[in-house]
Amino acid sequence: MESTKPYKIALSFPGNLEYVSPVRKFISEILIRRSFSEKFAYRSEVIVDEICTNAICYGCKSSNAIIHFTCFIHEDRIEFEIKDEGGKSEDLNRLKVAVDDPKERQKSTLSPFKEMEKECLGLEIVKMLSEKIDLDIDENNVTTIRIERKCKAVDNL
Amino acid sequence: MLSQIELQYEDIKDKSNAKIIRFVGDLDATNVEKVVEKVFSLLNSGIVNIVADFERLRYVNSTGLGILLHFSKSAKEKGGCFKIVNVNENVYEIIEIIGATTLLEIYDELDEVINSL
Repeated sequence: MESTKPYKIALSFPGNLEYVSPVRKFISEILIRRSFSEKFAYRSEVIVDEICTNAICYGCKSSNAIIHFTCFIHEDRIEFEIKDEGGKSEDLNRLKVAVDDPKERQKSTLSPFKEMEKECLGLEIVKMLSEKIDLDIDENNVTTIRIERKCKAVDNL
Repeated sequence: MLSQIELQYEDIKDKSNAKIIRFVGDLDATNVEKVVEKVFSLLNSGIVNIVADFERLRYVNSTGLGILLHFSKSAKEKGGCFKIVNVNENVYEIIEIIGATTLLEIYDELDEVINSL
């Protein structure tokens, strides 16, 4: 059982892509300062980038949309939660397919890239770099994605 | 805040329709437009063989990767190529995850890629 409470970082920022770079770099820096390997920090930076970019591009209907991002840093893993106001129904459907049908891509004998929707590329990367990804869409279309990434031996190579 | 990316150009001896572009910094959704503009400006001016040196490209996300595939396709359509060299381990891993290692022409050594033009 984990002995200490996770270190929590909560950020809210406008739905503008210019905020993604400082957020991903900030999380990466914090992870390195908390003794995670550079590789773990880099891979986490990629996850943060992709989920924030996705939320901004497809989950911000209004011009003043705000993205709520939370990160829980445990001793052996990290959890991300990102909440946006929800996008158009076709974007939500695409998100559901991308998150819920992880096996679809593996059925193909073609190159994975050709099979993927361009818009889902980022989520494919997130799935490959994480152990768990959950999607929750409430009755107002507010969309929350939760991701868990464990620190494994491969992160220290 | 836009991510910082700088493109540095270098001619290749005896190859007038080729150039080396050194990518320095991070390539993501905030700066792909700038990179697209610069690379297409070269392609449209007749420089259709491009060697992209990634030695100092620290970071790339899915948007950046999508653009690299677009450059490769466009260069081929113009009778040229878009070849990548000196990819660092972290960037290579992301290219590998999306299954693009077979779609992009990736080399280990600069001499090797220049000789292949």
